[in-house]
Amino acid sequence: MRERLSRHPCLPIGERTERGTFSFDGRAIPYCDGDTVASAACAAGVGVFSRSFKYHRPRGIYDYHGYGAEVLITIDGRPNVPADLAVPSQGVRVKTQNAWPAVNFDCMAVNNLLVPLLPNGFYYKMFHKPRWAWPWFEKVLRHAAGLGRIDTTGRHRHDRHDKRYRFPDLCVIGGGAAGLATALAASREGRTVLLIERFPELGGRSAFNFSMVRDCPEEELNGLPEHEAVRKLIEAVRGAPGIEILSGTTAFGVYEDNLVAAENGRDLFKIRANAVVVAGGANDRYLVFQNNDLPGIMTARGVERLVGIHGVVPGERAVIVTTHDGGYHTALILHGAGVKVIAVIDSRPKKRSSEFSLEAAAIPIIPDSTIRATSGWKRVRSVSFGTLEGSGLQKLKCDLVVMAVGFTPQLGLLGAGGGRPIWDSTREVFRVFDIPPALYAAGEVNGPASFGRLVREGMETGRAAARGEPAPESRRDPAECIPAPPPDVSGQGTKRFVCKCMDVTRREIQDSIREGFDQIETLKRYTSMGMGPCQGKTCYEAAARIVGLDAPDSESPALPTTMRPPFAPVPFGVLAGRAPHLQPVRRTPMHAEHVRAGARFLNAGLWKRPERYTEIAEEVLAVRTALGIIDVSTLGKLELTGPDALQLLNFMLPGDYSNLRVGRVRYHTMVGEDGILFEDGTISHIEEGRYFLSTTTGNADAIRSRFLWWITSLDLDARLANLGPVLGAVNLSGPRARDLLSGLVDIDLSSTSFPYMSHRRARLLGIEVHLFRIGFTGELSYEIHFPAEYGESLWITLLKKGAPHGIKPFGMEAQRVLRLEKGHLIPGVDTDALSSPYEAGVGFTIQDRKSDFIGRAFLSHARNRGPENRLVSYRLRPDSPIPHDGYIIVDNGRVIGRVTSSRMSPTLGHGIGLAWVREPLPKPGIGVRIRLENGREIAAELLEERAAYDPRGERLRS
Amino acid sequence: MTGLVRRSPLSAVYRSTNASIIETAGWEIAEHFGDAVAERRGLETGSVLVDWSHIGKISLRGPGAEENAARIASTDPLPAPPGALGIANGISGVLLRLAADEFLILCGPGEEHALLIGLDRTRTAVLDQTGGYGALLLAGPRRNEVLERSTAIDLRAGPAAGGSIVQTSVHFVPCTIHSAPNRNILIQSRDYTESLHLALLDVGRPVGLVPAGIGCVPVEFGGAGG
Repeated sequence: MRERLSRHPCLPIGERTERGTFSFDGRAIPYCDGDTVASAACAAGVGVFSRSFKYHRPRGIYDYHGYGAEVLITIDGRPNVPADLAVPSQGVRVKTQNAWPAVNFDCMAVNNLLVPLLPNGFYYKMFHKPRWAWPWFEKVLRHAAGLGRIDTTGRHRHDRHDKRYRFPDLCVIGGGAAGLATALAASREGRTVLLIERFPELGGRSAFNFSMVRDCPEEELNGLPEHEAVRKLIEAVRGAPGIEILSGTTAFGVYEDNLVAAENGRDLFKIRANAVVVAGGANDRYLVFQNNDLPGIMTARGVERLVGIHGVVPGERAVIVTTHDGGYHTALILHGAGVKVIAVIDSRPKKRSSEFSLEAAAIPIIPDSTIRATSGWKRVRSVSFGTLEGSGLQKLKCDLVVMAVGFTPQLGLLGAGGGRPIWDSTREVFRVFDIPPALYAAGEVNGPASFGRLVREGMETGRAAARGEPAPESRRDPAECIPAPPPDVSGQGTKRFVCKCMDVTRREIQDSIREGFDQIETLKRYTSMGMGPCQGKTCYEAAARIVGLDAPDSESPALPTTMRPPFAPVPFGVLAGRAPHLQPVRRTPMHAEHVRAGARFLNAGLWKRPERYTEIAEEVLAVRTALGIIDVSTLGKLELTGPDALQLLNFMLPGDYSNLRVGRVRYHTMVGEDGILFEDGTISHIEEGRYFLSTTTGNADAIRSRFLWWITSLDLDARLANLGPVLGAVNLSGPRARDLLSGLVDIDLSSTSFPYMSHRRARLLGIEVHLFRIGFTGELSYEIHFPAEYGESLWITLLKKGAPHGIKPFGMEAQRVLRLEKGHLIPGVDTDALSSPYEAGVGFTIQDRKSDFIGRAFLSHARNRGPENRLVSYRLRPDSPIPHDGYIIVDNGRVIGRVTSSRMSPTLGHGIGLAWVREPLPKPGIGVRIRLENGREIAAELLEERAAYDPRGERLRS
Repeated sequence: MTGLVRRSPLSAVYRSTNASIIETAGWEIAEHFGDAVAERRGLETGSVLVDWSHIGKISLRGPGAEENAARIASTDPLPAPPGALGIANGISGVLLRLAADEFLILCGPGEEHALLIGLDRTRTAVLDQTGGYGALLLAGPRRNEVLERSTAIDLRAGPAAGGSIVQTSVHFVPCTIHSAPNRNILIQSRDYTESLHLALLDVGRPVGLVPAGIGCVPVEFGGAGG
């Protein structure tokens, strides 16, 4: 356990209040205000946070910027959470990953000794022989691979993941000095700004930097230490109008038309801005040397953040490796925090003037030198250094090595326009120059710079973005540029990691190049380099420069690999949002009553329809013997009016409705331009020039769209009203239907006054309704369409008043049985994309003598050609099992058709069905056979009449 | 007399929450959902979702729609689509112009009957949508936090004088949204209303949204529909 800092001579650090404890691999760790899991654990002396992907080497905090694989942990069952971003709370359980049995004693670390046996692609090369053993190898490899374990207990099933939207004029990504200045400038131009910052606090690296500000366009900031200046800048931003700040938020993608995707906790923000400014800053440059992955090796900004933000000291004896004055700054911060700084190893010549004098702190500077290697296992124990040429090797004991060797801009989000990073030999960093309009770059993504420069560039960029002007030119003084040391400064050793996420070493890269993977893109795919959790953010520069050195035909440095979103890992839950709202539910006006009656529902598109209330047979027999009621509110209901309504109908439908008298109803079909049957329903002439078209539930929206399309295309004076939501509908069906209804309506329901296939307006229980004498069941039926808001009340009343008549509600399944007994087809169930209405037995709905209508040419052809198949009814023996829909029909071993619908008929006492059978049909009464799933065949008899029940239709006309 | 009552598409929600129901203009509608004080507090400090499904709703479409609309509009000329303005003739309501020849009239409960009488149906498709559409009112200072989680459309822009109109999807439900400075009215097909209500509450509860009755926000369209 290390002491928390309560003061620092250079930085504003205050007392911290302990807030609680969390469990880290079973150990209770206290945390304070503003802590992350990593800072609290580091303060408690935790050094090893994980084991590496392949070799299971110990890994600890490296750069503390929230991207590294080194500190991925599992929190309360959620794997792969960056410990340097995760905010602890009381009692949470943190577990380390990729180690067995524990991160401090990991048996899998034996891999580290087997390095020569584990070359790239070893799993392809080593385990395919003997062939029979592969399944076992695969199981073991799959178990060992991957980071973390997904929690499959289901306890996170109800986690919330909202999608949220923002529409600022300007979206600024990065809350450091440049981002803050950009936001401020845009606000001053009267624009709304959304400022996104990855960390909980704003200010970026300036928040823990005590350099004196110079040449800043905000005059009042000059002469202040950076942390003070940036605090004032933050205050200005917070007070500026139109700026919204989203801290603790990671922008992980910039897409077409300035769409920015960002993750905030469990929410996904979708931000559509007029302009986007990427001010994401830079990370400390990554160098390759022997054992460059040991715990205790950290970046300068990582160390400074731990000390400056959290008051945590990550070591006791530090060696600083640097190429610029920033290393001196870090040395003074550590010195001020009570760390013994053993030496600053500086690659530059001796006696440089610097803002940061180490003399007073008695910190020795070793010039003209750089790091060569480190030693240790769970913690760095010593550092070896020498000249850049490799001579004069020396060793220093330490437990902290700080790398301050320059910066690599974070360019991922700038790759949105497809621009590739190009090496800027002046600034010695990769930069993206090819940036699409309305996307801007500001700050250290353009290369390192002083605070004053960053503010100036941010201000200029903010103004340009606010005004829609081109991006201002990015400038740097030569003094601001930091020369890049060689990417691999040791040149020997087997543990020189280029990609720490995937455990790819320099030697593996060289071997892979020898195997022919000598282009960086193929090398990436072969070695997995840059494909780990940080997606190359740490190593992309080093990798490109090393490939430039090692690949014989490569540019030097090579171009980094293509950058694609997501820029940072995103949980699937965040991308998916929450399931309950991805599919809305449509409920009929009587839905609550169906629920109350205990209905079992089925999905009909988005609708919930009662499938059944009780036993199917009971519901069927109620309709056949007494009275049933079914909710048919989901049917499409279209009203067509206007002078050209009839002309439109005759064009849209294959039938001829010129002679459809007012008050009459007719069955209709619809075909496509290809003459294929896809829909049926009824059309009613409800008053002169006013037609009412009912459609199937599933086709309601499509048919409405189709009508609207043709009304516009044909320029007809016809109007279509969608009565679907306005009207609820029920069908009263059964021999007692008239008995019930006649006492409730104000019209004569006798068959002479209101015959089958007729429509009447009536008042039912005092409300205006449409009555249609139609049905799908083959019984005396009345379909009632009424204002939807009365649906619930009407349903209750009809059931109450129908009780003496034996009324029962029936669901979709009973209706399907009832219609099958009558041989009625359902388009889409009994028909498919090849079904002609002639072959389906509904050719009587077609009048192709009409001048023109949709599908006419193909229907004429189909009629002239004659049927090739027919939809026919069949019946089974009483003891036969009921075949499933889709089973084949055979005749003397030859497949001649298939079943489309098949049910047990409670009315008839045997199985019935519809089937497509190839012409010439076997003669009626001749048996065919239906093949079941087990190969067994059952006998079926094709019926001469389509209806197995009441083929003459006497009951429905009664 | 009918004996039948007009019920909101949220009647099942009423039942499951033991809402206090009152009858107005033949409709059973929630006065409050059990805690009128909490609803009032939600309106003042958070946000409330109120069932206004009983308000009158009439659609006008096709030739003559503009003339019909002009006849009942409070001011002349009609706004260009999409736009909104109040209704004249002493009727409380708002006229939403959705397209050049398409309008939606929202008015007080029961007032649709008087409006329908005055509309010319010879060329225009005039349809009483009162029962076919649900209407949900979102009010309160934090309602934008609900909307930002519910739709990809920016509804926070300052509305025009009569309020702004957007036709979009909210939680995948097609809606017409009338936004005024202090509230949004979401009009959607009746059959989607319960689903939308549940979705809005689900995303809204964590940011202070509570269901409320018309006792909290009575139907009122004053100030040019705003």
